[in-house]
Amino acid sequence: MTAALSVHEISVSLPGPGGLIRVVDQVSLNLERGEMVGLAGESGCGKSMLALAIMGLLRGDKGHVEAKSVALGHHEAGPSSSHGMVDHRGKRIAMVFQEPTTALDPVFTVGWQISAVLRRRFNLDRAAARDRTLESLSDIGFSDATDVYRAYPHQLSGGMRQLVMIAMATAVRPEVLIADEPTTALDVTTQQQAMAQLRALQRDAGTAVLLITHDIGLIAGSCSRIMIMYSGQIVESARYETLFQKPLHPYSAGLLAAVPRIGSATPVNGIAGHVAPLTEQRVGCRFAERCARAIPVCRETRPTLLDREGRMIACHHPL
Amino acid sequence: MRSGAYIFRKLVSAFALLIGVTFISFLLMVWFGPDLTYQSLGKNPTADQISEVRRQLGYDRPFMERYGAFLGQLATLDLGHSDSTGEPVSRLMARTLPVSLALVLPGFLIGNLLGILLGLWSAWQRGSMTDRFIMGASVAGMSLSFLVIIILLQVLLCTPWGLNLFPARGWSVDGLSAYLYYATVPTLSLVLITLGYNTRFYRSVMVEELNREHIRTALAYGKRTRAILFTHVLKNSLAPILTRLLFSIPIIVISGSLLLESYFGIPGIGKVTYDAITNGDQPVLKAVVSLTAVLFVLVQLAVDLAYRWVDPRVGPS
Amino acid sequence: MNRDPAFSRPHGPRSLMRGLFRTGAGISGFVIISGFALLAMATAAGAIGSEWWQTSAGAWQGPGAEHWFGTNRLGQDIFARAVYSTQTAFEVGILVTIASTLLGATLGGLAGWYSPGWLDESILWLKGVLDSIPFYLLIAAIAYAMQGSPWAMHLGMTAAFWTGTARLVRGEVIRLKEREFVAAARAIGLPGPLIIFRHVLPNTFNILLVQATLVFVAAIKTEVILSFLGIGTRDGISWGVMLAESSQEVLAGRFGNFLAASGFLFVLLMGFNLLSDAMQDELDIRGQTA
Repeated sequence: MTAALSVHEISVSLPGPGGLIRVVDQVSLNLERGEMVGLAGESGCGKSMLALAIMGLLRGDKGHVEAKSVALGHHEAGPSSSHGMVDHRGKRIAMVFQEPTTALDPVFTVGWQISAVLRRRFNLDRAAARDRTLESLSDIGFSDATDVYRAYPHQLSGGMRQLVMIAMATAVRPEVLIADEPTTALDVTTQQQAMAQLRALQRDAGTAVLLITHDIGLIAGSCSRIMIMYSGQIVESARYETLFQKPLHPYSAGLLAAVPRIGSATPVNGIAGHVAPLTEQRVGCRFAERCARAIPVCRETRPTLLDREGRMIACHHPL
Repeated sequence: MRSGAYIFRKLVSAFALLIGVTFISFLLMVWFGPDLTYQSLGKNPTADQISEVRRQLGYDRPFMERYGAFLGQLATLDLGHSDSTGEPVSRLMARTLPVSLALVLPGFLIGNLLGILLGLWSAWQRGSMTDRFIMGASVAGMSLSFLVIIILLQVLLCTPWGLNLFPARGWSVDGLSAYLYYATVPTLSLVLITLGYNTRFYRSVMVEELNREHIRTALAYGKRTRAILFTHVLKNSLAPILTRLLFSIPIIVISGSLLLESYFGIPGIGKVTYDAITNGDQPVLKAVVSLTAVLFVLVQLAVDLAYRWVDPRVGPS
Repeated sequence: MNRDPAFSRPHGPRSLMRGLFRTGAGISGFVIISGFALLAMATAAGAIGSEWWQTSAGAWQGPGAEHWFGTNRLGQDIFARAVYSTQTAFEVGILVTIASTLLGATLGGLAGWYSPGWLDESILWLKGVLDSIPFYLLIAAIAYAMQGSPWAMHLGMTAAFWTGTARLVRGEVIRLKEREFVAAARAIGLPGPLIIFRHVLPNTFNILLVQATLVFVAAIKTEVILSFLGIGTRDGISWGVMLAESSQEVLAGRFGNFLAASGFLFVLLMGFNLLSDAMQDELDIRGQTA
């Protein structure tokens, strides 16, 4: 069966002091219908850039995107195709952005903005769009959907705005939903509401969800698969339970070990060192200098993502 | 309560402005203005005749008294009669003001409308050849003197060395076709002169708007170019657009009409004012000054109201 | 986008120059202005165009080898007149720019520093009043009040142009007031005006520079219109005077005056506008055009 989203070797380059820098380096991934996949990594590893690149939202000056292929189901929509993602955005693919404060237009009401999106998506008239908008607002948990509908963004709190963005994305019922840190501004209960909404979308509409976050705990609750990203590359990808029980990449191990667990007596370890600035393009594995298991070949050749017993790993010296 | 105090402050500053404007106008046009003593006297006037005329014209009275009289006349709209032509000033204004408006408004509106459209387009295409061409043309437009454009257009459109389609001077408008006949060249000049400045201003406003995050959201949900530009960008830019429009009204109506009317021989308020200054025609000056001051104050108020109406973030929520 | 001048790259004069020369616009602007400035100085020194008032040649001669743009009604060489007018233009431009910048910076600085307060309110009031009086009326009135003095137009333009500069400087001073170096200066007890002039205003230098270019352009353009209205350059020659003459002449088919004056004027103004643009892009500043 065709994957809902399939990306082959997408790269994003930005102009830097010494030339072009690859902030996303030949990343490939697939999302099947109805699955929720987590993409984890520290801030600055390129997760958001990847999302924007897939969506086709990086304009010339914001980043140069190359890809072998980006396909939504059967439709080829990559940067080299004739229309790219333009026709699919807001219909087949939608995105929830990281920063809810400025993502909404301040001079229109929240309801108007969602309705406008739905009218385009489902070809509805004003009344029908309004009804659906109210429905989606109450589904996500607003008890006073009408008030929220009539409110302007600045009249809502940060958390409420983020819920609105999620409501907008789910109301579209896309085939693929990319959620970039969708719960940062939310408290624990609202977080659960939001995630419940995403899971409902998965279930009822068969939407494939790419959940981008640095919060492993969030992934634990809802994702069947997890991908780990470091410095512009995907270093490991596997089913969640598999990865959790036995991480292969030293970085993944470090990341999982750094999550505090209630009731566990194991001390929490950080990962020594910090992400090297991308301006220093070195040959070899980008994690090598922080890696306790680095061997000579690590500093010479960049490891590629290889299939190993049903999981993917990019490492010369895995655990 | 906040509204009340706010309105009061606005009124006070409006009043202070009016006082200031009238004071400076009085100072320049009346106190330092031309001495009209000898205009109504014949040859070899006697000392008595001179002092009589001076008394009539009020030249022998002290400063504050004359200023007070000036203000009083303004307040009661006692506009009197023109010193040079004897025509009642109110009739003069009623006759010339509509002419100036008819002359200047189309050019003002078109100049700004085109400026907004070009600004939107070049902002959307920023960095492209189109954008750079539009910007280059705008800079060229800004480097041309109003006078140069007027002369050029006149030669190209109103003389046998050009197309000779329109009159070089004059204004006898009795219907739409006559109006188009006389108003086209002045309107065109006004548009060309202001277009460069307008386009650059609107472009910079639009570019800033286009850089905002909510535009990315609109793109992410598939909104088309036209929708983005004409709903999101335009509505968010309304505040600076309206401010600019409203603040340029007094400038365009009075200063703009001054030059156009002097050049094309059109009997409007700009020309009348200019003549009044050079002839020291006080009643007319008083009328124009009060009109200007009131217009400016109204514009300030309009701008404040516009801000509240346009931006839901401003004002009581 | 952070517009705080102290956070952006420090722009001393040398780095500013380097930045300007990076763009075609900046270079051309600079070259044009320098060219004209040299021309102005040359005419002031009497090296070129000093025969602008001579009526030796016959009237209405067409363009030719001896008179590049022909001669005018009185038999004067139009090209020489246009060249000599460069001096007038620079004289008006420089005087008005310096005067209005000084006045605007001072009053704007004081207003911003003592904001909020009565001094600020008074200066704002003065600005409001001067802005509400239509520009040409103000200058015409001043010209008339000064009974035909040749400095009337300089004074009038200064009175009208300082407000734009003052508005910018006031805004900047209000922002800079919160900065640490000002708090430090205050802490060691330096008096207000000293802080303003020695420490705060130099930080507004870039803004003043941009504004100065815009004022220069406005001054030259205004002189043209004032001369046409008869209240600009009186004794002497300027492009405005030439254009005023030409307004009648073109109707009779004589284009020499018009072409010469408008040509020179256009090139110089383009030079200034290009330079101003390059400066604004480089320094990330927008000026105030009236």
